[in-house]
Amino acid sequence: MPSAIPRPKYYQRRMPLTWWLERWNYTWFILRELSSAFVAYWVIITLMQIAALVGGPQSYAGFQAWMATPVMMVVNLIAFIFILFHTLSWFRLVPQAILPRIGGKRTSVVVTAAPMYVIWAVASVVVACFVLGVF
Amino acid sequence: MADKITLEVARFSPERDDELRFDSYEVPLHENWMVLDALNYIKDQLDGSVTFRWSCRMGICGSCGMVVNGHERLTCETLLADYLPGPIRVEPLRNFPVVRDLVVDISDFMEKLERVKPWIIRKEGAPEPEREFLQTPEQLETYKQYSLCINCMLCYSACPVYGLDPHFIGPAASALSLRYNLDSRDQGTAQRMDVMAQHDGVWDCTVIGECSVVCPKHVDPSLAIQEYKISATKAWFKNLLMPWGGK
Repeated sequence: MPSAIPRPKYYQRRMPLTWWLERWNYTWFILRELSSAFVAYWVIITLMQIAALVGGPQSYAGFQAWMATPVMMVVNLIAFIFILFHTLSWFRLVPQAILPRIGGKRTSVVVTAAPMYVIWAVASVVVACFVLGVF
Repeated sequence: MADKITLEVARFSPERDDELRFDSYEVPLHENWMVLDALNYIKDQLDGSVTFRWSCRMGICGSCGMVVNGHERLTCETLLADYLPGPIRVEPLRNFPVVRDLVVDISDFMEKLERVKPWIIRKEGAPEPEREFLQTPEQLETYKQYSLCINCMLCYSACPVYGLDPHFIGPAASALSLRYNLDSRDQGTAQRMDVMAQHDGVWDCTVIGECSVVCPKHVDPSLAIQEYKISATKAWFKNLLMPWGGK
């Protein structure tokens, strides 16, 4: 007996929930988006640090003690890895989004990407010098 | 080298199937055979009911795009020998409704392509040129990369944004739209911007970049979309800040 419900004319594949695991580029994209949450976390921690600093030596010592707990050390290490990934992923993305033309010709990926890495390296060295007391 | 290889070909008959199924065929493995040659062998020698599109066999017409072992390829330029020892799974392009076997319905793409007006537009009332337009090599270079698109739709198949939100104008239509904006003979940027500077236009793109990875002509539609975003932002600011929209 023929079915009362007509068959669909076409077959439409549904995107599976795990679509982002199908290719490395998709996974990279999801991790890049996820890493934004850790950047937000870092901003909140920095604001809390400033608030503790404003609160006086006792308040700041309390903040430091909290940061030194094993749980916070692990959380901060994970956050650091994701923030590093966030930075690198956006550096990787820039030549995919902007390749300026100089004299009518497109610049190469290296010319677009290199200045970012150079500025990043110089800024890191300057910050490291401050932290290590070189300045 | 083995003398045979197995193809697992996606099948769908609207009269009896609810979803894709796979049929296996063993085909001769010749050194220079492409996946399309194997499909033609299947159709001619093994099973005449297998349905697929093809035309030029030289990577120009854009008809034979399929998903080969999970990746979008023009089957006319995909060597069988690269997939040894096999099997090779051949599926229809993703994100499009399947009409039959490896044939997808491309009407959504055609509608989007038309919407971005991929042709030279002159201002209404502009005087008729007395001779053909001339272009310098530099002017040609500005848009040439984007003009290489062959409408094969591999980029739409690889784009998860299009898969999740079919209203997205998509990579190829964006690249072709920009191609005409960058053409020195064209005066239709504002008309195209009305379509492209919308949420469903370029702003839907989240820069995953897989469209540029699968593009067989190195058009780099992802770059085109980001360039479009920059020009749309500039136009918006110009409109906001300059008296009479900077006209």
